[in-house]
Amino acid sequence: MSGYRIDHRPGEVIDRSREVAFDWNGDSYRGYMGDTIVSALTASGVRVFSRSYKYHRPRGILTATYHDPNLMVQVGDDPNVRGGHRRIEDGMQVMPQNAWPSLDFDVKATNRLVGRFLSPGFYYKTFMAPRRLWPAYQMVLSRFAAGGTVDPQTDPGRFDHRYAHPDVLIAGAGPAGMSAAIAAAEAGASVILVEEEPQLGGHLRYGGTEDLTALSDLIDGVHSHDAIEVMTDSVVTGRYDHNWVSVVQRDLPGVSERLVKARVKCLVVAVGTLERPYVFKGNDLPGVMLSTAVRRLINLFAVRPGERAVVLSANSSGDAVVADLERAGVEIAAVIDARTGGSVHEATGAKEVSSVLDSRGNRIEADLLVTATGWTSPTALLNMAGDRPTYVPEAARYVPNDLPEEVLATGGMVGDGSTDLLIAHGAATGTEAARRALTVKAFWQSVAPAGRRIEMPKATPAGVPELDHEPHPEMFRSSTHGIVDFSEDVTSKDLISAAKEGYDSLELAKRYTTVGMGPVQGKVEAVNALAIHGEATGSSLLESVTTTWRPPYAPVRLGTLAGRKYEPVRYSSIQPWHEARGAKRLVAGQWIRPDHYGDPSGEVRAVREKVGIIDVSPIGKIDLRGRDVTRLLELVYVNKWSKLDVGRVRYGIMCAEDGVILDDGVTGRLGENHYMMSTTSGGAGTVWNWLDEWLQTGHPEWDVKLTAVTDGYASINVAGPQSRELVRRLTDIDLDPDVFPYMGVHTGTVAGIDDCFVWRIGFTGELSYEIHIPSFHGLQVWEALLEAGEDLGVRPFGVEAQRILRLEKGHFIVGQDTDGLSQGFGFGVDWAIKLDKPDFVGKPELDWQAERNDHPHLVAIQTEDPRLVPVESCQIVATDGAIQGRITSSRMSPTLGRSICLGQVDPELARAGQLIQIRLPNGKSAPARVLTDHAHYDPEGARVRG
Amino acid sequence: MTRREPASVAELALTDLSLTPKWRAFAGYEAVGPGTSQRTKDGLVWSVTPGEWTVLGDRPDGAVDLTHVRAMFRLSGAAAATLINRVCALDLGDGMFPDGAAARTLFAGVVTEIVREDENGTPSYLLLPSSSFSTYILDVILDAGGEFGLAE
Repeated sequence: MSGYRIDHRPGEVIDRSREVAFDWNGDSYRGYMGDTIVSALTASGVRVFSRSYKYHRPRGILTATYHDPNLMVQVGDDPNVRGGHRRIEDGMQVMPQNAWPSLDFDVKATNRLVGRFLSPGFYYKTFMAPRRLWPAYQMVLSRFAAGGTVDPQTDPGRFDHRYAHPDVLIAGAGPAGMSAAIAAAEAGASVILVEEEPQLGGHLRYGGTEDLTALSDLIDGVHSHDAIEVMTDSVVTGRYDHNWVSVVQRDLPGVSERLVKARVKCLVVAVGTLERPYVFKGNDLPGVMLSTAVRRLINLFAVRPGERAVVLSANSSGDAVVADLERAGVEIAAVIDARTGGSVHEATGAKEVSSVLDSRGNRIEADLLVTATGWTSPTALLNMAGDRPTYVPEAARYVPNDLPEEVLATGGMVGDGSTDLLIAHGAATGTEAARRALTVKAFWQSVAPAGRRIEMPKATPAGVPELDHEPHPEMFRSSTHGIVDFSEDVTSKDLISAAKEGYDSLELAKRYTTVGMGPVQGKVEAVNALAIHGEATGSSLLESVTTTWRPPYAPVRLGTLAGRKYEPVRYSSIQPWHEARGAKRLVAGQWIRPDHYGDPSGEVRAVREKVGIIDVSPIGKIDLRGRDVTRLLELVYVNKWSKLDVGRVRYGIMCAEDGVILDDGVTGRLGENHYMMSTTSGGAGTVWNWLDEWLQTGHPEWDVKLTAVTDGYASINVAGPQSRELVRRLTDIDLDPDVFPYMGVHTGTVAGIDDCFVWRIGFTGELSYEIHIPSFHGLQVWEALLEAGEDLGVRPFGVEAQRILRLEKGHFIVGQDTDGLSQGFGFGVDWAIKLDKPDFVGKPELDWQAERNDHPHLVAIQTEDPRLVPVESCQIVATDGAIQGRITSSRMSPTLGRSICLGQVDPELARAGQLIQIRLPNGKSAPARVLTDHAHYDPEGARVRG
Repeated sequence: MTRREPASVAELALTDLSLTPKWRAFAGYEAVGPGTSQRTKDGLVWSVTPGEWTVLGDRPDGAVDLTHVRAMFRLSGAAAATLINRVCALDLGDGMFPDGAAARTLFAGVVTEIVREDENGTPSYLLLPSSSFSTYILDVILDAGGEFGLAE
């Protein structure tokens, strides 16, 4: 630390007892706890922090806040860190951005020499042609792109989200915001108070003794209320419909950033004003600073920003900065009063200011030029709430105009006044905000089923006093030209020449010059840009144009938007067993399933020859009870249900209104008025919604009780010639084929677990029993089956083996062999579609489909070369190149020792023995034949009925 | 110097009550309206859907067994609502969701019934996701609860 640190200041936020060591640009520096990167470096004599975007001009402090366009630095792996805001920490590695090879010697600064050729649209005009050279242009230009670097390997940190429901949320904790919070809390409202800076207080923090006393009282007031939650170093980034407000919290322990999503009953915008730069020649030289930047440096960080200063003052902040500078030991070379016509013509210097030329022609030696030439209201949140703030020429700024009921504004953005007046305005606004919020709250609670009834507040609004506007000269640009947009290096000359080129619409000029499109997003430069563009086009844009401010108000990290990576996954109760046996995981929608245990072919053989068990818990299960269940089944399935006896199951197909196959599965009748429907694993939610929708909208009079019980049962399919013997060893259910035939269902005990239901179906084509066990006991039954069947050669099999088994048998899978255009006929289940039923969902479309009879057919296909397995979705192509169908499923069959397929083909090809050509990914054709039946194996179904 | 959300490490307890018998009844509890819960002679009863009630206790006539369909976790303590609001948008304030409130909502992206059943004046919430999600939901609770000192 060098001689730029001054004696203790009453409002300083640094802790002089705690030194912090950090690196800047490869050198070691020290600062105090509480210093920002920039205050610590300024205290050590550093003046240049970055190079500008286009001309690579050296840049120093402008606003010394989060929004300073010149203070973006790289901290470790973190690019674009705001050096005027981020506090130093021990060991922090800070590097400049956009300065290659170094900050001091920047080869790209040669852009300055050719700057007069880098006019707006330079890139568009220059790199247009020849087009073939664009890749080369792009490589060179990307070296010149601004911004830091990100290491993809870097730890992204922890980001999370939070929902909040405060009565009142206050953006900005200056005097008005703090007093609004206190008043709202006193009126009974819960409050969230959000402040962008690390401390409460706004401009009071860097004010005089009276300001600090007022601040201390306000802080005590805020902390005395439990109903006020304070978020410092946090920013309200957006206001959306129905007062949905986003806040980014940055100062949480253990969390990099948190996105707070708040449903706010009344939003109070108390964000104050931002100081506006003045446009003149040399206005971006290091050493040209805003008055509030200087006041922050001196009063918060006890840093002397220069040796000899010129102050251009148009307001009380300019007057106050003169006193601050004197106290800090800075020599005042001149005070130029803009209120009496004074102005600055030019600042000159090589790497920083060395002299100032005023408008009267005096050249004054100085290393610091402080400007206090106006205020910009950051009205973004108000605009997002639908307000169109009005420009007040006498005060040279925008003020709120017409706010919706649930949004209020207070403080400096509304008007000017003493600290007492601002506090009074804030308090009245806070009281009114609480009244409005509690009115909403009383209503919401009155309609919430369990909500507590509370008294509606008085209908009379709390009176909010008016705040006057202190007269202020309109000062945007001097008689010279300078930088308007510091982020994008857009000058006033650029704006004027853009207007002359015909870009007289501000929207087009913005995009052409890129003014306002940099990281600061218009906060610093928008008003000057509007004024200068208006000057060039001879119109008063300030009064006629409303800027559209879109969220986010300040940059938000992608990690903050993403939050924690919570992706819902579902496990069957048997999954731990699969994991322990090294099963390959299959992600099937939200379900994690065992794909196989290392040898799917062996698993297939075990099922064909002995017995296998598979965990099919994800199968959808819906419990249906009531007198009218049969009517519902008749409505949603294409086949008939009225004659299904108790103890029997039936396969059914559902089609949507357009006749397209929606789902399939078996439904069993467990009792007179009690059915259990099964659905495909992926279709469980859809079918449940489908049934509920038909019941609620089509037949609310029917007595049907629906309960989704998928998760209530672990489901195990026991398949293979030995399956009856295996299940017999564990159950009290009589498995005699006469008592329990194919397509039967019984309830009973399995492996000591009561309330199981078992149905005999055959997706694999083998004799099989599907056991459904109350799910918390699934693993117990699974293990019992493996133990009891050891001598029978029982083996677990996964989804892959099941897919092979069903393909051998020719059973289609909805969504695999059917698609979004697959109407009911043509999939080998034409027998199930009962057009003679009086009505069912999809019937008219299926009637027409049958009449047209031009639909694709699903057929079994075998390649002539038995070793060739065409990949799924290969097309079937005619000799003239016309597409005639496609392969929907294909596998090598371990049972048949050859390749087997299912495919959709045009109707004329759906004949046994038909020769077809499958177009392979390598462009070659593979000849194949259509089979008589869907089943490649056991077409008679003898095995399943055994 | 800044006050934060009301949350304290000591005041958070998580219990897995998944094995508790749970029933879906379709009649008999008409006094318990949707969005509310009540302690009845049969046990705790709540409704989030017109004409359907969940009952913790003995099996009511004609009820469907939900025991294995739903997992059930109890989250108790001053920080419970704060933790839930990490992943659930519901307003859990005493005004909107006091003791005796019930809702079906999304918890970390999973359909979950939430019932507030305070214990001796301490806020307490029953969370009932479908049972296949219970591992995931526990992972989420532990992840979000790490900041409150909740650990396995």
